Amino acid sequence: MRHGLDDVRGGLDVDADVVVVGSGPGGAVAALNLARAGMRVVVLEAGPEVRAEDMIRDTPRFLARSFWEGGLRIILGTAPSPTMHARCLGGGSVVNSAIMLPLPKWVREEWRAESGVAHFDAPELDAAYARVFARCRVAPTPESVFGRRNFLVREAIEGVVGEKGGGLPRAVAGCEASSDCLTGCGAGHKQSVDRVYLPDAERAGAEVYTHCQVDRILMQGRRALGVEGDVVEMPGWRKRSRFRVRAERVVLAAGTMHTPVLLQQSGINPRGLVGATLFCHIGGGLVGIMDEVVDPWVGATQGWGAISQQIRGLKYEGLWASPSVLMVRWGDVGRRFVERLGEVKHAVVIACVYRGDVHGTVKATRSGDPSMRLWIPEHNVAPVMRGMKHAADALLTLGARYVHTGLVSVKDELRNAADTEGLLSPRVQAKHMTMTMNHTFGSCRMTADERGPVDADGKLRGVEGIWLCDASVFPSPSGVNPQATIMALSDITSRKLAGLGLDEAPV
Amino acid sequence: MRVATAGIAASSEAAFPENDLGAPDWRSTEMVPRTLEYLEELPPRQRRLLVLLFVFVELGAVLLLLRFRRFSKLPARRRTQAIVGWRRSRFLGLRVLGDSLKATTTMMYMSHPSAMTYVGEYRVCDRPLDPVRIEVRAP
Repeated sequence: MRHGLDDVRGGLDVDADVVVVGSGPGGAVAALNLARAGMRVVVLEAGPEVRAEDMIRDTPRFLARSFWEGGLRIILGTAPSPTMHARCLGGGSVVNSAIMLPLPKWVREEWRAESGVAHFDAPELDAAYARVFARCRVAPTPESVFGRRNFLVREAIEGVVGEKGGGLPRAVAGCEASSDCLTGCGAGHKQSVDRVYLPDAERAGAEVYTHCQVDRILMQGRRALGVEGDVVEMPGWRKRSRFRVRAERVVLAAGTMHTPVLLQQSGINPRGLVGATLFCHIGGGLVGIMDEVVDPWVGATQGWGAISQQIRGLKYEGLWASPSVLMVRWGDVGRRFVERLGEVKHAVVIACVYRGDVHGTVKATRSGDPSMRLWIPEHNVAPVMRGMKHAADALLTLGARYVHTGLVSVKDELRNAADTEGLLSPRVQAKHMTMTMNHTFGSCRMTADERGPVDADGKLRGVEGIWLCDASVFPSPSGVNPQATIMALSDITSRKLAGLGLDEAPV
Repeated sequence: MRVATAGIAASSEAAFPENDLGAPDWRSTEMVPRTLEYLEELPPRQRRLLVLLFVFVELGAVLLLLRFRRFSKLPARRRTQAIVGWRRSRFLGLRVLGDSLKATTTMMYMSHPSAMTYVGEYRVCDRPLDPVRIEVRAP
């Protein structure tokens, strides 16, 4: 059963067998498996349910309502950058492009070798992916919803750069090419976990509560006894009352930032390893202004992509988002900006996402928000810039009037090969790589030995009764969009906890 | 809040001034009331930070521009030049100030239906429940 603000405004005090903190991709998968096993499951979500009428194209307002810190969260460190984390029922699956890529084979081998966790490169993970993909109806994006924009990205990256790609596999059924993925699929075609996992978990008996922001894990000695926190009301995220859920099993699926913060706030930090690591994908985006009218608002938000064979760890993908977000870094201010508005309908955006070896930390602040720092090694700059140069040259070859990168250390408008050479200049340093760091992982790494705070069963070391089911357990960056792997690993951890088989066939 | 509101209006006009290009300006996109509504939706800490940003720019112009006037009392063109200059500054604090003003005003401007219509934005499927109405048609 699903409970909204009206059900919890006055507070809440319930018992359960297991409490799942977070209703995103990791939490929803865990909730379904645990409920199917007959456990009394309570799912707690800090944000609201995003219904069709809440999916508005007034982007700033949507961000304020559906994202942590109103969408204004920043990661500090080498290059302070925005990072957006959903705060709503279904978490990131409601507001991302629904891309579902399994880990590349070489990343699986590396994860297994460096962490010692066997299932990172074993048939159990393949079976988990298969179950997740079947339930989410994952399929390659069909050309019929590419729009001109994704075709141009394919012409540039496959036709000119020579990188073989394809329609990105997405959890979408019946896409209408509305380009609205990032403010929620108002038409309901996206197979986000609030649509495909949580309803089944509720039918199996799970109780789902929104507006419940957990701030502490209740402990007795080294044993978890449940969680407590604030009921939060919108608009303005004001605290209304306290709630408490008593359960001997606590599954944390609050995401890479909030899972370590919750543990730290509760005084749980075995050997100082919680939040001591943090990884993310880095990269950059470039905007090509073509002669033709592209109508970039038509087509799947991220419909076409290619994993580079020339630059290991780099991925190219077409991208679109609301101009109110994309144009924040684009162009000038005042009349000069307004003069450029006519060019928006000619725009093509290519994102270059790089695995790299960025590292950092997450710490809880006194307010309960995470404070994140990430350090980008200088040797990570060259591969990203090579990828961006390839993409920029390709767009110019296809007839782009100019290409804009937003990098302060290169020309504002790249118009020819001589200009794009500037991307490879030593003047371009890690501190110039302002980007949006949305793929974050590894704040509570899963390892077979004691180097990480989480063991191979997903259980937190040093305490009893806490399991982790989100991207915080990744031992290093995934190299691809993380949602599929979050769900598959959560499937494995929660099946072990629930006593369900790891070889069950997809439904 | 009066000072912050003056800062919002002054920054909005600087970023999206009246023009002869046919583009909507800061008034026709209702940037001041919409920004105030947006602030009310933010979590308390982010709301305070953004209010402080606009208070700072309104009162801090004396220090930043060495002009003994509030930001809103400067000519619009001078305010635009100031934001452009801050974004290009070699001082991180000024760059953050300029970029924050550019980001906030751009978000508010570009999410107004008249600005969406001006850039040619349309959709291939409708969201009947969305109060932001833009054209729906085939590509």
